[in-house]
Amino acid sequence: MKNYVKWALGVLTVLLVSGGCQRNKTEPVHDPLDTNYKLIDKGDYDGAIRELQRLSLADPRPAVKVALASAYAARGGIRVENYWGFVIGFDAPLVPPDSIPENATVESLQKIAKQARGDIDPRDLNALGGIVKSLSVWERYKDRVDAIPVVSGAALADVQVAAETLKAVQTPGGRLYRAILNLILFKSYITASQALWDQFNAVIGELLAGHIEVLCKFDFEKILNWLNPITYHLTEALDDLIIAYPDERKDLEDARNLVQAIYGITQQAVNELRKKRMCRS
Amino acid sequence: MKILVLFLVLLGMPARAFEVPRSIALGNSDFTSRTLSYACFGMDALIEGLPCNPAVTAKERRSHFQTQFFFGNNVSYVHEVTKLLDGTGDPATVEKLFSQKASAEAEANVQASYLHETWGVQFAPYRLYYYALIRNSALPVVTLYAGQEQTLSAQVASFAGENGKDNWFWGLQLRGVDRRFILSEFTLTDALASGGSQYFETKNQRALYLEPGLLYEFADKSWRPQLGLAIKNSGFVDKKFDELPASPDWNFAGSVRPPVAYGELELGLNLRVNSYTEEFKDLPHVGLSYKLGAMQGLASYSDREYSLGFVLHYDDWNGGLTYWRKKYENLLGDQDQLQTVYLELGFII
Repeated sequence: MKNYVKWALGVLTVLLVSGGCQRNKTEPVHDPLDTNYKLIDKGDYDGAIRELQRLSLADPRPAVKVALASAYAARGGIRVENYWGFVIGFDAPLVPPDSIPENATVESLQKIAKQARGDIDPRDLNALGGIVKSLSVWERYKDRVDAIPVVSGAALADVQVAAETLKAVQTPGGRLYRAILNLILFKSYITASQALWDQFNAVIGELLAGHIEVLCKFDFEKILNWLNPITYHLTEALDDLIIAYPDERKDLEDARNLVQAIYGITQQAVNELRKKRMCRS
Repeated sequence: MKILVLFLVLLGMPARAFEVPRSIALGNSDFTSRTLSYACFGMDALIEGLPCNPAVTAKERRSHFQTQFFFGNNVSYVHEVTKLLDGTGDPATVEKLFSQKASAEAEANVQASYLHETWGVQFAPYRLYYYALIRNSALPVVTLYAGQEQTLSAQVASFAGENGKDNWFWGLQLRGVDRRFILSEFTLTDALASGGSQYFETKNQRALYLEPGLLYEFADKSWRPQLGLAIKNSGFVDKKFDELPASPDWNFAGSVRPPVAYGELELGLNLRVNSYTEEFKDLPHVGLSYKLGAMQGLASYSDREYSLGFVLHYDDWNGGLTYWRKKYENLLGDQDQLQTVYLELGFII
């Protein structure tokens, strides 16, 4: 009996040593980011922003900037459920120039252009044509971002800071997040200018009724001012997507160039209409 | 006794690290482990497969072949885990992954075993497991551990006593495990952006465990008490991963079988010691098995987990259902809990 027990215990001792040779454990390194994620989940956004700002001074990891941006976005009311539908069905928002969509406003302007032929200075017609093209593209983007939220006031400022925080981040995931934030800002500016949009549609209605003189009253510069932040955030979003999806670089660059070109066309059109040659009389 | 003292001294209790829960990384996905927990190391009650303590194999008198299919209520994740491991994951897979609110786990296991007097073999071609922890409601970050294992186990056991006087049993289990798993941490946008597939790259680990067990039965006592020791997860791995636990468990276990008017009752107690043990209350696990006719009721309790279940044996078939709940410290160092209903189906030849 004793021999058996000794033999068995000998085996156990050998195994013990093999077990004892397992890796040496070290003190757990608790990622400080996790602490700040917890603050975000508890709704202490100010605390998370404060801590992550401090951490970002010492910790150069892109993940810290991404976490800081997410804390700003959270304070701005942007949580994953707000953009889930957009991001899961995400597709790079390319704008094929040959498939500009028709919509009510565009159709209206085209009708005006046809009706007014001969009554309006051809240069004004060209300008109107430019706006037709521009609006159709803006509306195309507007349709694509229906699944993302809108922010205003202090929340809009927070989302802007979040987007700026990520500007230097070069990771694809970080920039995809920034693209989402820029598209939220893009949509927010469009939505914030709903009154201008309604005003513009009213002008179109007047034009359709044959009141060409309404062109003299409407301040087309407002359209340009409206397009400034929209163009900026859309261009930034496309720049972000170029980093997030480098394989799509060419298409995304084309889209960005198109956005900028259309903004240029709009500027020219507004300048032409501002002169309002036909209103001088 | 001196040897046991030496064990404890050598074992030591190093600092605790945050790792994948041991029950998932190193545990067994089977009904015995889930219903009796670690108390099974000192108990004769055996529902399927090979005994927890290989020394118990020496007590087996009936040769049999058995197959089992075991899965939990999160079995819907199996499809997603398989896709991730096969590299065929798509945005829908990511959607499923991030659609959870907190931590989640899933397990499924298929195994076949043959047990003979003094030896047994078992092959589990498909153990699938999944563990995910999500945080940051603004931009979800997930820690994901999902994998698939194939395990081949063999046990040899015998009486150690001379002429059956001392009722000593010993056993040794040799267990080879081939793990293929994903272990990574990333944000939702990391996963969806270019290069997101890097977070789903599979890793491989092969392990060989030598797991001995001893058991002493006081057969002449009316309650037939027995005491034993079994070492689990003691062995070698070809690659080490910081996030995966690798230290052995020491199970000091025992049981009694009080005579009852009807059926068979067994109560087990196990003191489990490993490098993660921090407090005495983490050590004991108690288990209960009561078999009456075709029905076997099972339960276990410890400070951090409990389970309650039953098995029905009908002809050569058996089926069981158990509820399992566990409190644990998650990767963030927070108290978290998992609760699952497990189902098992099997047959014996």
